[in-house]
Amino acid sequence: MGNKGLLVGLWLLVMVSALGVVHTTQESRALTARLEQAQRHRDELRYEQERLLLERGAWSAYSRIEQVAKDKLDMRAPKPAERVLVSPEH
Amino acid sequence: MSAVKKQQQQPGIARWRFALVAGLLCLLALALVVHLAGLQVLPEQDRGYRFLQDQGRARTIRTEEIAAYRGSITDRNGELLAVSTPVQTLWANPQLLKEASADQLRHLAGALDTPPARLAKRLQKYRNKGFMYLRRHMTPEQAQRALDLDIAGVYSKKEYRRFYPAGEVTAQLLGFTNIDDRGQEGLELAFEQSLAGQAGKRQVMKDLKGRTVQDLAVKQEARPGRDLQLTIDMRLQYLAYRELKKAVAENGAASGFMVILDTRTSEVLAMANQPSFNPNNREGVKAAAMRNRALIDQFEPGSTIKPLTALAALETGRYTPHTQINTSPGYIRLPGKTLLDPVNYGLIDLTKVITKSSQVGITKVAMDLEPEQLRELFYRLGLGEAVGSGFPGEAAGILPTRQRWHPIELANFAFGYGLTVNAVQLAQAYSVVANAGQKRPVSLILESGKNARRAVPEQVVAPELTKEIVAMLETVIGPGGTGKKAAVEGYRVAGKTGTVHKVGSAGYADNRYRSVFAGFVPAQNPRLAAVVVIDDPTHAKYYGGEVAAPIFGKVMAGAMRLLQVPPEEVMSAEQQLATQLDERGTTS
Repeated sequence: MGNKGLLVGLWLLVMVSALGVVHTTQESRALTARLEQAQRHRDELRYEQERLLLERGAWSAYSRIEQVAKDKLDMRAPKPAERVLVSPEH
Repeated sequence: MSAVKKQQQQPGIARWRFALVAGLLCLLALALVVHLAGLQVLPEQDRGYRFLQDQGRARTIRTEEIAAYRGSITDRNGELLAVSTPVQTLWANPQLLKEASADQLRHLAGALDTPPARLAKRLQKYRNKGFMYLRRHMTPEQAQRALDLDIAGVYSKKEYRRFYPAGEVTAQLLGFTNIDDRGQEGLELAFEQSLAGQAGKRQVMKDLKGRTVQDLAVKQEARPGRDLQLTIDMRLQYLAYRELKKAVAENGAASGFMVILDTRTSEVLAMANQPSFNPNNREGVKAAAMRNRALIDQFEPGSTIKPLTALAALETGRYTPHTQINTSPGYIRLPGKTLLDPVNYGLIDLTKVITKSSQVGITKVAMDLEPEQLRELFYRLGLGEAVGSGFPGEAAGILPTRQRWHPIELANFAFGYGLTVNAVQLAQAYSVVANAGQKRPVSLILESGKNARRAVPEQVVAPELTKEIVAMLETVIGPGGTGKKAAVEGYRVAGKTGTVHKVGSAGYADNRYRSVFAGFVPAQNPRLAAVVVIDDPTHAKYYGGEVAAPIFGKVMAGAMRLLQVPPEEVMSAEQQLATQLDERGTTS
C-alpha cells in the first residue's frame, strides 16, 4: 500500500513537472518572440536614424547652404579689409 | 429444455470467440506499442527516432542570417559620405507562384511596377526553378504593397543599398558598390575587406506561422563592417569641386582635377575630379567620368618641376638664388632641338628664372648639373614612387634613369618633360618644400586615438634651401610673375605655373595643352599645398597662369577662411580701431 502511495505521488510529481516544462517552453517561446520583435524594432530605429542622418545631410549640403545664404539671406563672405583679427593674446 | 440449453450454449461459444478476438486485438495493439517503442527508443531501428527527429527538425528548424552592415564612410569631421540603407528585395518560388490566378499575377505585376506580360515571360523562363528575383532594391513601402497581396510563393528579403549623400562631389574617390553591396571601384574597393560586414548565421525554431519561437544556437557570429574615416574635409572638397567644375566648363576643358594636402601632416584634405557622375544612379555613366584622375592619371608636370630643378642647383652649393644666368639671346640650341623663351630676358638671376619660367635659364642650369643628382632629388621628394594610398590603380609615375643622358633629355627633365607624376605626388613634393624639407607619407585614411601612427617625418632636403625656394616661389605670384592670378587676398602665396604640351598621336601636339598650378599657402607658415590640373582647355586661354592659377586662388581663399588661418596682412583689432579713430579725428 505504501508502495502504491509512493507510486501515485511520484506519478503526480512527474505530471506536474511535465506540465511545468510545457508551461516554461511556452513562456520561453513567447519571450523569444518578444525579443525578436524588440530586435526588429531596434533595427528599424537604426534605419530611421540613418534615414534622418541622410536627410540632415541633404538639407545641410554645402551647395544648398551656400544657395540659401546667398539668395535668401543676402549673405556674403567678408572682404579681407572688413575682417578684424582678434588674437588670443589680447 | 433443449432450447434453454441452446441459449446457454450460445454465450459460451461467444465467450470463446470474444476471447480470441480480444486477444488478437491486444496482440495487434501490443505489436503497435512494441514497434512504437522500438522507433522511439532503439537507435539502430530503420527510420527510428533519429530519422523521425531529423524530419521534425527539418520542418521547424531554420538557419537564419544575422545581418551585418557594411561600414559607413565619413569625412574627417564625421560627415556621412557613404552609408548602406536597408531595402527590400522580392523573390518568388515559381513552383508555388504557378498556382496563382491570372488576376493575382496582374496585381503582382502592378505592385512590382512591371508590365504583366514581362512578368509572365519571366515566370515561364524560371518555371522549373525554385527561386527567382521579382524585383531587387525596393523601398519597404513598395515591397509591403506586393506582400499585402498575400500571394503564395512571394517572399521578401532584406538587402542593403549604398547611398552617397555627397553625390558627384566625392564620386571618384569613394567609388561605388555593386548591387550586392560589394566594392567595385575606388576606396569602396580598396577597403572592401574592412568595410564589408560578414553576415552571421543562427539556428532558430519556427512555428507553423513562421514566427521564431526558440533561439537554438549561433552558428557564426556576425561581423559588422568597420567604419572608415577619411582625411578628406568635405568643406574643402566641395569648394575644390565647385571651382573645378566651373573652370572646366568655362575653359571648355576635357577634364580637371585638384588635390589639397595638409602640409603639416600630409593628409589629403580634398581630391576633386571633373567630369564627374552621380554614384547613386550610375545609368549611362562613361568610364572616363569614374576615374579618380588625381591619383590614377600620370602626366608630365612641365614647368612646375622647375623649382625642384632650382633646388637641385642650390644643393650643389654652386648656386644661390642670386646667381646670374645669361639667357641671351632668348634661345638655346641643343643637339636636335632649339629651346625658346617668349622674349629675351637677358642676364637674370636664378630667382628670376623661376619667376619668368625661363626655358633657356633652367636649361642652362640643368646643363651644369649631374643628371643623376637631379633624378635623385626628384626621387627623394617622392616622384617616381607610389604614394602608398592603397587606391586601386594608383599611378606611380615614371622617373626614368639612363646610362647616358643626352643633353636634350636632361633639359627636358629639368623643365618637367620625360617624366610623369600624379597630382598627389606633385602636391607632396611641394609640401616637402613648404614643410622645410620634411617629408611625411601621404594619407587618405584618418587614424585617430591610439591607432594613430605618427609617422616620423623624414628630412629629405636642408631647410635653409627650401626657404630660398619658398622665396623664389613667392615671386611667381608677385609682380611680373606668371602666377599672379593665384594670389589670395590677405595671404602670401608660393607656387608655380605650368603649361604642358599634351602628347598627341604624332608626338607633342602644338595646340593641345595641360594647365597646371602647384603651390602652397600661407607662404611663410604653410598650411595647405595644392595642385590644380586642367586638361585640354579649348577656349582662348591655356596658360597655367591663366587657367589653373585662378582656381588655386579661389579655392585657397575659401579654404583659409574655413580653416580660420589668420591672415598675414590684416590689421589687428587695435590697429584697426586706431586707424578708425584717426579717420574720425581728421574728418571732424
